[in-house]
Amino acid sequence: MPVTYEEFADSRLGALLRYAVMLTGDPHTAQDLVQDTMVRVQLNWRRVAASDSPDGYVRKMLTNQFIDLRRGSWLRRVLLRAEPDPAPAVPTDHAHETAERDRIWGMLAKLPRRQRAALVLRFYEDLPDADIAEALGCAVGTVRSSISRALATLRAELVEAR
Amino acid sequence: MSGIEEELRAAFARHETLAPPVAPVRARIDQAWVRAKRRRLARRITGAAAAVLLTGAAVPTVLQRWEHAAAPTVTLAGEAPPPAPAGPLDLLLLGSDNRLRWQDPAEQHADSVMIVHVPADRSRTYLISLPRDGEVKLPGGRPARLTETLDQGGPALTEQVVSELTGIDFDARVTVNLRALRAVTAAVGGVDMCLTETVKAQTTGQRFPKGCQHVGADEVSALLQARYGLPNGSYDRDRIAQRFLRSLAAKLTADGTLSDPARAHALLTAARDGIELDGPAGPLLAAAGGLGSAEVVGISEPSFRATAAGRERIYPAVGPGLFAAVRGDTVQTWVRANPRYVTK
Repeated sequence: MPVTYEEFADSRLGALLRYAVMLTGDPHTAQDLVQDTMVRVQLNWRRVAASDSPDGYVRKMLTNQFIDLRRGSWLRRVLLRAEPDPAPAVPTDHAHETAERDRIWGMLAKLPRRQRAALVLRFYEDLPDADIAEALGCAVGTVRSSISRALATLRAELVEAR
Repeated sequence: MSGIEEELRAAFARHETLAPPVAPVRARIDQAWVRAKRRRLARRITGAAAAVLLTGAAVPTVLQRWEHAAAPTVTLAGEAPPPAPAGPLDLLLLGSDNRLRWQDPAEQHADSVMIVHVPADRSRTYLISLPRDGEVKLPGGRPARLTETLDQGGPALTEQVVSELTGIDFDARVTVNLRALRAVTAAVGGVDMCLTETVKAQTTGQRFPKGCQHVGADEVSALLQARYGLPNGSYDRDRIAQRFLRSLAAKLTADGTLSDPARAHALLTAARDGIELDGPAGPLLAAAGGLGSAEVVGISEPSFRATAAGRERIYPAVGPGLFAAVRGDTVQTWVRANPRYVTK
């Protein structure tokens, strides 16, 4: 029995939003990224559902959309948003303690998008190299070098900051 | 070495709380989807016209509103062939009774309601009949018979109610009256069709014997209206309508009418007063040729199925699976698993 779009959205939308937050670092941008991707998912639902892994297919669509964001229309919409949505509560307690720890989160924003995506897929989604390569549309070797280059950048910046 | 990796994992985990709540995002996606779909409809309507033509029911008289009797804008010569539409097509075909005045929506009954589903691979056209007396819920929750929706709110209400029932979003809605079917039949010189039992028309008294026969234009109305005296009443009548459309489609494709613009034009002109296709696009018949050899498969409830209260129900046993198969474009698989519902 093939999964329907509704079933897919019901079960996967939360995880996709979390993934998009890790990619973009910002709830509004994440929401627009997911919205745009999901409209395209619906337009192409038969192809998505027929793929070996609808999950992986959509992750790939969303990742590509994130990496190619200049080509897409969604960034423009992000920048020109008319009605800001109420921002979800950001934890503010222990702000002082977390400031140091969140330095790494801020550094992620400076990485090239492809490298950031590779880090999220590895250390948040916990995917094996082959699946990361699939999502990024590149070779496994490229995944490994992207991740090690990104980690080296982060490490160097952290050392400098401390 | 692993320090930075652990810090990354922790940073990601901490920021999960930034993720927006799912429900509002879901609602916004649905709104964006409606807009995207509307844009796409303009491109897909061409395919809809083709599919409708295949069922012998196509004059793309473009109507913006139900009451608006626009003149058909059939232009064929010199137009570039439209791009082949992709994806499955779902149309709602409403056959209404021409004993009543066509122009007066208040007097219309939806005597025949069919979902026309053309899968993405264009291998077949499925005609799924919905029983005219089946119980549906009007907006607001009041129960009504499906046939009553046409005079209570026009084709738009019928479509809304059927969409509600089935979860199917229709690409187009086509309303056909018997006069148009008669004109189409005349234009193709009658059709050859087979009946599984003898039908006696209550309007003219004519007998249509069991077996295969030639049905001329003058006989079509009587045959398609016949209901009383059939073992399963309107269910059998729905199947006769399916067989008629199948025969008509066979005739249209076998003699090349669909691929000959001049003859297609003549056909459309003959039927133009009785067929209405809602939607924004103009008629581009070139696409119809692509559907030339598709097989037409009828699906219907074998017989009356009622609730305890005596109300007639619409596919009570197989409805959810059938409608899901339409939405998921897996009707062929459904048909294989449910041969009892396939019209012979």
